[in-house]
Amino acid sequence: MSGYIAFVKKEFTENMKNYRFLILFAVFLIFGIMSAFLAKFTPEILSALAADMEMTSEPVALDAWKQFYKNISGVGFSAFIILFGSCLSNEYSKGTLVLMVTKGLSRKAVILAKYTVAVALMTISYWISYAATYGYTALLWNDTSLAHVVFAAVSLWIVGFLYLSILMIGCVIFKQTFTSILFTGGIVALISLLGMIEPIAKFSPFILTSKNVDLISGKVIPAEFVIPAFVSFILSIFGLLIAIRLFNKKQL
Amino acid sequence: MNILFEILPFLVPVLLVDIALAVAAVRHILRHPRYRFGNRTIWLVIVVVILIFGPIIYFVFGKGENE
Amino acid sequence: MNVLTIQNLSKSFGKQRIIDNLNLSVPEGSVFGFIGKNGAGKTTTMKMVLGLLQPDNGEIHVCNEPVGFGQTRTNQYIGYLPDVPEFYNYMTPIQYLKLCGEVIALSKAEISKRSEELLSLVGLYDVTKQIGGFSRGMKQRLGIAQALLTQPKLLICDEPTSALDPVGRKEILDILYKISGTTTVLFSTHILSDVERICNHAAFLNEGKIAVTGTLAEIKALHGHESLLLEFSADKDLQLFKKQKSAEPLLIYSEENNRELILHSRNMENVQKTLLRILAETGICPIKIELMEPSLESLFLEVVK
Repeated sequence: MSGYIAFVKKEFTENMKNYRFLILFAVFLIFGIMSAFLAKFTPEILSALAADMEMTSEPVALDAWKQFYKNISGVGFSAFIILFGSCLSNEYSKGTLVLMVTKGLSRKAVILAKYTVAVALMTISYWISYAATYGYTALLWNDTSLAHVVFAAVSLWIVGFLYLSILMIGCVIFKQTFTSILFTGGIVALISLLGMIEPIAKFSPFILTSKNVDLISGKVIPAEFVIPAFVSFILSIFGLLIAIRLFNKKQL
Repeated sequence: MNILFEILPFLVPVLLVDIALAVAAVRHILRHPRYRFGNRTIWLVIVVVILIFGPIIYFVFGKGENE
Repeated sequence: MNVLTIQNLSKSFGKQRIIDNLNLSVPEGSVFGFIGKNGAGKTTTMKMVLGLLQPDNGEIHVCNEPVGFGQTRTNQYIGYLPDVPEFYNYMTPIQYLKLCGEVIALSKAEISKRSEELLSLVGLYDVTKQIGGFSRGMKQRLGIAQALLTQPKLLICDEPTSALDPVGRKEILDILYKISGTTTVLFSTHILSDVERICNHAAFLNEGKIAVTGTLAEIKALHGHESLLLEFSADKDLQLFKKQKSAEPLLIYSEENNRELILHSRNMENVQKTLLRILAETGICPIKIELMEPSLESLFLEVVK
């Protein structure tokens, strides 16, 4: 336990010192702001630049959330996976973990600490981004008709846990950053594919990343999200357990 | 033109983030003489000129290994 | 009591058998030199003791507890210094020792007290720069400090001196000698003079097995033959000496080198008696007669032959 806490502290400092947190914070904040901003002003800017362009329809608050989910589930999480893809490979290649492990730090604690810090930073960045979109949307439209805005955001957040858990497996198996990232991307793509197959689509965590906008616009009801969220949660824990098991047998 | 003035205040936070990133990057560049590729001048230009992405590119790809 | 016992240990990499049925025990309180050629399997053995490598066969016990691969329980008794220790570059020595102290659940007061002691022991007390800018010798010394932080029963050092200059080597050896009163020290090396300087036990590793082991005195007595060096003032004296009938048995195991003659024997007393008689009879006056101590080096060469 003490080893876990010490290593969490170390991971946290490390992510500050190597600017990972700063970058992610900036990326997510800017995406949050830009989601609402571009949804509102892109048509106006375009029509100001090209006078002959007709505005097809007045942008609404839902457009801001469309942008938000597209950006975060795509670029936002990718940035996260790319930056954290090196969280173990650096330690493998330099051999820095050897001294820690030979001091009695359990390997489980290493994985859990790395996961904890990644999840914590993801959570902070994610909700900052959400707050920015929320604030700007409220500022630019005085629209309060949207339902389940928070619930929709929570479901994408839950997927973040799953992605990071998959990333931990990738990082444990592969000694190179690039392969770890590739592995994670592959598994995420696989989940999306499985999410399209009819009989299991209802249970797949893929729903959590693809139907958030439908939830806000009222096309789907929150109940449909409950099972996928549960599945995602179980898979995250399962993924972590696999990562720990594999790491126990890994040569450092 | 008036649309520009209407929009700009909304971008102030973005600008602040960019300034924070650029300052952090410039400080890092000045304190560390070694980069994975490129030299000090090139990185200073990139970091200052390319908004937001400049500093990010530096921290992710350009920063030398030794902290 | 033995701090470390290794029984029937084997390990292959691919088809190459690096460690082949190795048996070794390290008694408590000893300074144990683990000697072998480069690539003999010293590091491999040590990594298995630390649970960093999976043995193919055999058992390892540290303080009577079995070592398991990937497990870290027995490591609480061990301090480990790898051949090239790597730290987190962005930390200062104090910060690194604090992390280590927290990992092994020391109290805050204890961490700062021990860090202070250890850093002054290894001469890094007033160094406040980041580890990234350290020289190899400094990293090695910090490595000793972090290994001792746990107050281990057994300190394992992998070639602690081989990459250092003479000053750095002396510093490390002095530190190891200083701590040998409180901790059993096992260190691997191929520098024999280091072993002779501070060890009281040693083992020679050759072809995956322990070829010789015991206290330094035992090893020398068992396998060393003593030698006697004679230096003559002129070649004709040497030739005259060799022509003597009673000198024949002495010359069976001998080396000739310019005007020097080195006689090897397991019974040096007889050799000396015979020699002095011959010298008295012939009137030859050598300019130098020296009894040579059996050296580890000659032993080592004999073992690996």
